Amino acid sequence: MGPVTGNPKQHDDAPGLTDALGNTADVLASTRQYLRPFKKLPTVWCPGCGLGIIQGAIVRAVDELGLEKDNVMFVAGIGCTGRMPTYLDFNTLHVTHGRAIPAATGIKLANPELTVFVVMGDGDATAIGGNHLIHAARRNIDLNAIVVNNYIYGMTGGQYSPTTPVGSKASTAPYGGIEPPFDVSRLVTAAGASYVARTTAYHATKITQYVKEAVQNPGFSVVEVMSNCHTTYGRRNKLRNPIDLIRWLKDHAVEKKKWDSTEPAERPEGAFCVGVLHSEPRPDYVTLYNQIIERARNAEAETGTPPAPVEVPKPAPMAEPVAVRLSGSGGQGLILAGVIYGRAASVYDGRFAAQTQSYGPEARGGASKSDVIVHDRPIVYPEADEFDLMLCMTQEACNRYAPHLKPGGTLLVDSLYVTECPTEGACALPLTEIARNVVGRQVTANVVALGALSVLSPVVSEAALRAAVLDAAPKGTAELNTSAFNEGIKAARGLESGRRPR
Amino acid sequence: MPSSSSRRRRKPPAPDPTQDRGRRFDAGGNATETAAQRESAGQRSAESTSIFVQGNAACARGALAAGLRFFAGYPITPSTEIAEIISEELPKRGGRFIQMEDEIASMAAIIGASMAGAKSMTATSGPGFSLMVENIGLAAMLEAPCVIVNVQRGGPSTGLPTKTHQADVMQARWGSHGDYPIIVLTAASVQDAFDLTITSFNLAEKYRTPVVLLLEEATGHMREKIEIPPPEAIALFERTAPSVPPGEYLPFDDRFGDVPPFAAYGTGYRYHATGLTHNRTGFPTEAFEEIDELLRRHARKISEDIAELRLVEHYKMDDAEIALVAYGSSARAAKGAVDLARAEGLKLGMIRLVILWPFPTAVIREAAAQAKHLIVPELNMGQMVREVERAASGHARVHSMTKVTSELWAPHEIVEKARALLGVNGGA
Repeated sequence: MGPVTGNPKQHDDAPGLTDALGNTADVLASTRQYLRPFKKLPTVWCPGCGLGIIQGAIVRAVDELGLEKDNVMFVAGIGCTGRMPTYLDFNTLHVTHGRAIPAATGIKLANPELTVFVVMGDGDATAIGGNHLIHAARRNIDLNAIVVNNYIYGMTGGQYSPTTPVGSKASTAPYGGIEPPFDVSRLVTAAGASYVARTTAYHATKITQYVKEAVQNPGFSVVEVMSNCHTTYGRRNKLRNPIDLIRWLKDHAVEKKKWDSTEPAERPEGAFCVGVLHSEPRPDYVTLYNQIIERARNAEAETGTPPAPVEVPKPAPMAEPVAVRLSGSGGQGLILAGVIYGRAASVYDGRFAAQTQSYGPEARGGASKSDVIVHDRPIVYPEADEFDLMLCMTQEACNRYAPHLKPGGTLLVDSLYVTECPTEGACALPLTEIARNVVGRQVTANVVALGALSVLSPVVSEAALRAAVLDAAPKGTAELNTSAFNEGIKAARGLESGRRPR
Repeated sequence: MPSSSSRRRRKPPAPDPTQDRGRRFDAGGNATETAAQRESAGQRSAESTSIFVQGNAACARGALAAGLRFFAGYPITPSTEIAEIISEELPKRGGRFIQMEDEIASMAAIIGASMAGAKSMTATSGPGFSLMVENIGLAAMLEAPCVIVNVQRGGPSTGLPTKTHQADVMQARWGSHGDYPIIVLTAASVQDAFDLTITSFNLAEKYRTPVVLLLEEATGHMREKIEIPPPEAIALFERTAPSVPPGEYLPFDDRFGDVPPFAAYGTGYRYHATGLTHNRTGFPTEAFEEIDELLRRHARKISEDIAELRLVEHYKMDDAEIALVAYGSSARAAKGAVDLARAEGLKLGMIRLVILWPFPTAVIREAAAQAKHLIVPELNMGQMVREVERAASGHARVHSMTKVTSELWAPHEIVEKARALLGVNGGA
């Protein structure tokens, strides 16, 4: 600990006192009404710590803005600064280290009526929580972030932080720091914060002013307050008295106007710019999201009523599960064909169906597949080693999968792409050419195939498949898809009987 | 590509004993929201609807049916479809979706939203779940109701993004540091993914706890037909509001039982909540008796002694000599194995764990007293089998079946194990 600079009882809130900065009892009274009325004083902070000044300045901003206590939310993470909400008579939440901003983001999105403050130290905000800080800035979520920057991890005993100046000593930098520090205000400005101001614990009235402006800014606002940790930073860096350290802050704070008109060499070493450093209001996240809600609701309203249900005749009982594999190249619509097949079997034919498919690189290669198991009972095992019915729309798929056709199973291949078939008795149809030349859209080859499958195999009824195809048809393409389905049926019926399955 | 919207409406189906329907397991019947209220919230009243969808889509629909108001997530295979569907559907219902910068932030955001009163959820897979565990501990400490869906993939580390495992069952229980209870459910089918998502929300709200719902790549990506009941047929549980005025409210008040009434931030109940160990006022404490009081209340609140939490399905267990203890996709194979074995005259039965944590010790103890052998097939190196062994405590022999190839268990593989135990040669 540094030298004791105050009587621990100085926080006693008995009326009539004047505080260390000469504030009168009136000012204290306006602060006191926002402190929790029981037990929690003195604070955990060291005597002389800037956090008390900063806390007072923040609640005076709340007071001057006339915010209702019930509508004010304070969220904090870990560290000395993180303890501030404990003392404040608002809605307060103290979370894990670095996570105050994302927690506050959830709160703001769940209840945008709340005015949400996030109080953080430099470690909380820029080290462990650095990623959250820049993303909240980018999103312009309407939070009021107050970053108390005292160059050090205070609560854990003085380890260097991302803002510790090069050369300063810390308990984990006993030979002096070598890492260049973050300039917090410039960081959040670059990341998109719409209001950024910096001041010091010495400039208490400025803190109040900037916090008020932050609240009034609709979007992500940051007030960086340079503060003193004489106990763990000052002690190691020849500023062990809180007054010395606060004076150092005062002497190194350069007003923006002066900063902009001077050369770096003209400023004291360690100087920092103070004032409103950035103000560029833009729509905040919740405002923009509310527009999304409106757009989504309008889109929903335009969708209209779903089509009338289609009834299909009940199919014949099925003694054993039937395995179906639809395969080809990514982009041929095999996955969708599998989904349509499964839907036809289950939703329309009233059986059970389980559909699985290839994912990742496999799905994009030449042997993409979509499997459907169909049965009259719940499917316990959604995979198969052998298939009763198979569609192969590329040579690669045929080479790889046709050997897994059950003896006596049905294989349909696209004769445009599959020229060598390892299995005897395959049904070859120019599915892609029919889609391209007869239907007029090559993309309907998968539906041509489904039409053909409805003839070649009794697993799913034609009526069920037709209904499921229409369900899947994008708006305005019902006719096209019906045509493709019918052409598939026609082609399959035209196969010589020798090429029809047994 | 069409959306998987309603395709066919039919009357609510008669209960089918061959189907395991999670709704049967719904917690509580104490729905506080009426059908009329949900109606006015924009949900259509209709007969049960049949759709053919992925498990991930069913999970998303279950969350919406449960009254989801906030979702935060980060993309990860094989769970991403849940976020995609919710990003499209949630704003239509006035809720809000956000894609966060990582899973740590996602978990923090749903906790924040929950504390502000919104039913909240995230969805992820193993690597993302590892990042979430930090704040799952915070949710347990704050007693913030929320649902975390983990669509399990192969691991460790980046592992197998598109392949299935059941390897996160222990992490779901013990992932965060410290001693805390949690509810973990697991789904075996696409219908389960819908039903158990609703159950997860109900349990989260009722017990003020994070609930983890474990899916698997296999069930998350598989499509099956599911029945979506009309909103008025779905019982929803809402967190219990305080019965005392703001001046008397304590956020962790144990006078009303082990689950303290919940006041959302911004409703006039100003209080402090913290991840620090706290007393009933919400403020930090280091008093020995208050520390003990808090942790023991947490443990009582969600314990295996609560009958309502013993969510299991018994299948042909009445005369079973071998009991399969299975969960998730392995329970599908186990059910198939029971039927195959019974056709050969072998007396197999199955206990399907719908809830993994708190572990239903009493149920397994009972099975161990009845059956000679318990077989535990898992898609990992043997995780839940240790709990089964603990519960059986020597009353039955417990056999682990492990598989980590990323393939599913097939029914005949389990039957072979049973035959070997009974000294029976291979069947037909």
